[in-house]
Amino acid sequence: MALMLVLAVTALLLILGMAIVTLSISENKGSKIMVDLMQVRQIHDTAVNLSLSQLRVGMEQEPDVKGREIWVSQPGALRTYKEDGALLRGIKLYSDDAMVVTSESDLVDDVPPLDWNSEANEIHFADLNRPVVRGERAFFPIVDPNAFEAGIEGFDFDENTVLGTVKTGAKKDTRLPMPVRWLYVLQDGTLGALQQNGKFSGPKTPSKSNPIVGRVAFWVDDEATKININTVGEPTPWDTPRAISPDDLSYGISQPARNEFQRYPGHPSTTALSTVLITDRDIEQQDKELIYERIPRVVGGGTFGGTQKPGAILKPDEDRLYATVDEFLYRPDREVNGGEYADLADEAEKIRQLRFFLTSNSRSPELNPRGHPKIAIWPLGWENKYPRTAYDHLVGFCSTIGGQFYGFQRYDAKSSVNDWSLIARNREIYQFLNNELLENVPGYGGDFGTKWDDDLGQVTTQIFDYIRCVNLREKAKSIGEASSGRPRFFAASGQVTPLKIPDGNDGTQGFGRFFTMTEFGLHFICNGHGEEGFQPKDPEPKLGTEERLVQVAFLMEPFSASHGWPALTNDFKVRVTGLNGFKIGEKPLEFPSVAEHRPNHLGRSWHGRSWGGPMGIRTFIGNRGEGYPFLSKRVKVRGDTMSFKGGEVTVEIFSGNSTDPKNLIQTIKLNFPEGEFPVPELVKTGTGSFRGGGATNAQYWRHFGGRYRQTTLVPHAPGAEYSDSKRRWPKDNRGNQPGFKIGGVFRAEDVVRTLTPYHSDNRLVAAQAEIDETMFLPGPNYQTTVRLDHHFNDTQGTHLLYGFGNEPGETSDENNSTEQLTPAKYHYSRLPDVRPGTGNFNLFGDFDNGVAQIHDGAYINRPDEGNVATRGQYAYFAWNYKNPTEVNFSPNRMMPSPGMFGSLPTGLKRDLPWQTLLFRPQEGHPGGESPPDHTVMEYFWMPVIEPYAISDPFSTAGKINLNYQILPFTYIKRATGLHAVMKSERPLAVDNEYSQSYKLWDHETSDHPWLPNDSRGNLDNRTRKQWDDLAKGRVKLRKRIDAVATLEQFEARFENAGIFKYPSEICDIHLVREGEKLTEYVSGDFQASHVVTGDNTRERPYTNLYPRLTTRSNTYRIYVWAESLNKARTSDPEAFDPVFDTVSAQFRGSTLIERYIDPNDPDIPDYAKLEDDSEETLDDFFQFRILESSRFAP
Amino acid sequence: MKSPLKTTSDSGFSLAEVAISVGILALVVLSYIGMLGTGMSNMSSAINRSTEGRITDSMLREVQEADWNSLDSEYSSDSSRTRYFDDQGSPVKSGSVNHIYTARLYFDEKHGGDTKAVELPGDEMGRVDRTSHLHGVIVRIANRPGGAGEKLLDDDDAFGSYREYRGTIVKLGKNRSDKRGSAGK
Repeated sequence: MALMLVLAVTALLLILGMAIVTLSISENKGSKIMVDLMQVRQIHDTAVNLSLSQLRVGMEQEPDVKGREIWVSQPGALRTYKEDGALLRGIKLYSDDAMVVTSESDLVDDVPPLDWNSEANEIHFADLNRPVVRGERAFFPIVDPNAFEAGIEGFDFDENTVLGTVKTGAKKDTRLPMPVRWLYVLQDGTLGALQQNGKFSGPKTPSKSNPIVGRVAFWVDDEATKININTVGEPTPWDTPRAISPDDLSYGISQPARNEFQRYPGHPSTTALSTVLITDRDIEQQDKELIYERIPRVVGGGTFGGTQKPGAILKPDEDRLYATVDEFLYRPDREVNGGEYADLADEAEKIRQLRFFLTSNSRSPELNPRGHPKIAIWPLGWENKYPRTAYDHLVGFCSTIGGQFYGFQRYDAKSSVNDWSLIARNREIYQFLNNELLENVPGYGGDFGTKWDDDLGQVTTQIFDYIRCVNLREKAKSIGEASSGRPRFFAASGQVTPLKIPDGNDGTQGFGRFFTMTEFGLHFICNGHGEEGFQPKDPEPKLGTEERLVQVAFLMEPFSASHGWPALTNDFKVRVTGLNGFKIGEKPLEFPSVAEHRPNHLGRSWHGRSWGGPMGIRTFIGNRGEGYPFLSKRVKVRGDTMSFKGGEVTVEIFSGNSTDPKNLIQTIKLNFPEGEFPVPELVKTGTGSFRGGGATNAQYWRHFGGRYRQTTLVPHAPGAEYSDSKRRWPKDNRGNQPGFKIGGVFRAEDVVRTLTPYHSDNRLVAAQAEIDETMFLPGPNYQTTVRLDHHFNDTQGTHLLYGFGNEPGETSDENNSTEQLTPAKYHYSRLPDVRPGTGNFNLFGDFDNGVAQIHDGAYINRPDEGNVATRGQYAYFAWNYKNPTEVNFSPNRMMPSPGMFGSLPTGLKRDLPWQTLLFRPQEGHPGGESPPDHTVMEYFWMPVIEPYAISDPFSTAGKINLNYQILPFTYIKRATGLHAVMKSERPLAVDNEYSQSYKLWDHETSDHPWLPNDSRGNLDNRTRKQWDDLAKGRVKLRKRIDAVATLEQFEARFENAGIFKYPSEICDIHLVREGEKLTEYVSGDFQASHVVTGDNTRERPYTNLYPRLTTRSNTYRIYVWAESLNKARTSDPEAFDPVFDTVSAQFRGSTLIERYIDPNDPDIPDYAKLEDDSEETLDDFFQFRILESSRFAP
Repeated sequence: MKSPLKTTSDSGFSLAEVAISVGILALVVLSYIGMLGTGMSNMSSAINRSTEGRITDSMLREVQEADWNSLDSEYSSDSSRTRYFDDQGSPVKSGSVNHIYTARLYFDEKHGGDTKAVELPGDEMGRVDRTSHLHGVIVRIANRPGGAGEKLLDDDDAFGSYREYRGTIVKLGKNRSDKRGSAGK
């Protein structure tokens, strides 16, 4: 019995004991697992820390290396370049047995071995993209290879580089391995890889007491190579119209509405989401509207894809931004994205495929090559002394760091000095910019001081003044004026007095938006003849039969290089000194010794236009008749020739109505040489009426009192006097003949002699305070018997003033392609305003295409503030200009990027005409010499301030990295971001074949203010057909970019281990259009067959692409596979034996990190005031943060 | 009449029965005590391990979040690198009655410690020095209450009596050292 009791107690005790032991064993196991998990997390964190360390190594300056280094990012690597362009280090952003290399080939050749998945390699490589297969679905941690079948643009991979790749097939069977090496971790934290023989290689050798405890594999993706779902949109292209094409006509009619961000040139919303979302068809408007629904802040409507005139300002939606790509599955109202009939499972699968191509967090720094703040290209009002709009404040916020603003401010549009002398910060920023450009451009070596010599300060002044002249008519309610609500424009007239900077030997001057004079001439007319019936009226003396009475007018043609809209209303005065020395024979012409003239509104006349460029002479004369101040006395001349004695003349141009020296903008010295000129004949015929132009009698043409009395009326229309019948206008519909009219200035009987800049690059005249007499030279027929030797212009064309340089006669000398601006044949009405032989100077195509139908010339690519026209006409083309309202206003539309500076001359001080900043590929152009001109863009930026602060202080979200090459997985191509970026552009190129028709409009086509019709017009059949083909789109001048052909240049660069160091290097890439071949561009054949395509037109796509591109990222996603290992007691401690050793815990996941700057950091210095030898950079103030960490557990 | 009690008292445990019972009981109790010991030791090592895990985590987090630029100065002395914890791994003050664990941070050789600084394969070739932004950190934990724990940590020969955990910390803050002593994390 006792035994029974004891046994019972014993059994109970044993059960209790067993329970305790079992519990403790499982507790122990549990804690072991927990510790293993903790350890594996620690190993994972180590991988994140190592990645961060790699980034820091790549991004920080190396004190032992001379000069400033730059870094460039790409998926899987950073590259650091020395100042001279040599590679300092290649930093691998993936686990490898050599994580830092010193040659580019070591980086790009480090592809995983073909048999990475062999048994022997099992201990060496981990496939970071190994899927988890569940049922019929495979879940991939990085990239779903089915994205290829889904047709995502720009995505491809090679099946034969690494074994195990399966490109097509059932969705669960496709594979895309991304093998990287395992890094093994010893207990004391030592890291190393395994050698080929399987032994650990590292700073220490593993031992029993310091065994291998874990391993980790990681790879870092560059988020900037993906499309950012918080900034993207779907573009409908827009550009300022520049030629006759349905696109350009619609650009005029259907200009982007305010807040129609998807149409703002260069705006991130013009990057196309359809690249990944709609890949099975051409996108239509309804698709776009669906995309806008998905995108935060971007809304549809407006111009409905450029098909309508917008009626109102769009109201951006208030959708919140996406925190992760996965959120893209749902709309803010919790409906599934993707339309009404979208299936959740399908959409979810789609989103999983898109993870490799989309991001919700991508940012790039906005620092210049020297690591200092970029300068904003949007002008602000001067602190509290001039009103700032909400836009200005946002730009100011983005461009201020450490309490200092990096940009230009403005205050006084009417002064050439105030914005310099009153605003100290402007002087500092100007000096800062010059100092930066005097330093070597890291990655290239050279500096702009050496390259441009005396022109450095000139270029920077031009840029400063260019920025100052942006946005002249935005209504600003200043702080003081808010209650009154009165708008205040910076320059309501559109005129801005050029800025003078007393820097360098003789100072520099910008363009402002002002006038210079680009042609000076003498107009000789005959007032009377000794022949019976033609004697001059009393009190003029009687003439002998061989005698003629001759009078001379001194003429000049105003020109503004700042051609474009808004309208430009002049406010200047000229003073001419020295004309009194002129004689015919020995008879003084008795011009006034000093005379002044303040012309009325130069654009206000029949056929007048206020768009700058050559403004003609008719409105300069301005109906003054005998009151025109530069008239000579009448002198008797005998015979058919006369000896003219000229001399030195000084022309001074003043801003405003005062000749106070402080208003003096420009002094031009001229020297009219003596010459034997034909004597003008007496005009003996009057003219009939024609299309609104009144008839005249002969007397009207015999004295300036008549001829200069009504110069703003309907002028001459090409008529019977033209030798080439193709250039004559037809009769009007009442049967009247074209020809000379009231408003005309020259007749065939007159004699005209002029001086023009010897190279006709009027920009070189416009931005100089003093022009000496070597600039203006006589025309080619000055010393001949040709009567009319001039190229005085008219705002509406070159055919309305009789005798224009190449008229009558050929538009262009076919045997001498240098006669005109380019070798093309131009239409007689759209001849560039250049002297014959200009082609000898215009070697690089550095001229601008005029806006809409306006002829090409030496313009500076003024930012377009819009023109909405009236009465439903084609804005920009039509004659009735109207200032845009706020329905069309946007800063980003006006100034997409510093690419806008591309038409500013670089050779003004060195007297190198027709050379401007080169922001496009061009063989042999001096701008391409190192450092290439395009790197100048890297010193400026335009903050993206709409629809929300896409830019913050010195960084911008959503930029796409040009360096899409993925290391070490070079067999995977993800150029999707670049495809998306390029979709917004429709580069314009005009075939030489169409050089006579690409600018025709109005009278030359039909006189119809809307569109040409068949009832009128004076085109020959060939030109008419050509014009019709262009206007109706049968011949396309604008085409899409062929991204695949264009990216061949990227591929070639990557294959040669090259990379893009700066986003401005996009300017080295030919943008091949659909249907064209890269070889045509490379050989130069394309450019040679499209010579009338101007510099501004060629550079415009680059201007719009550049602000959406980067080469340096602030955001990276680290994919990690970490394992903690248990070494078996019997296995070799120096190796990992997969048979005996075990994996005790595993962690797969990704971590998103961001590099950012605290703009309010009190330690940030004022970079504009640093000592010359200071090496302080903003890079030093960047910090890192972890935005998101997630585990791969599908 | 026979008393039933008497009958019972007549039939007592035999010696053999008692001896066997005691023997079995002793055997069982002994083995039970043995089991209890193993179980308790297992339990305690499990508790230790997970507590030490928590302590390591918190120590590494603390040092990762510390002002990087003053790491060397703020963690220069043994006492500044030592933290005290109770049996749950919650921090306590030195001298607290609940003090069970003592933990101390040790940096790598470039930062006052004696372990090798973190190196990556290829660093030598690229002449890369990571010491400005990457530290190897060891957390040494002794499980002895009171001053005994600290003494143990001081004694390098006592390896085995304390445990070591390793990790890395990376500088997240700006590169430039602060002039005005503001946080540079």
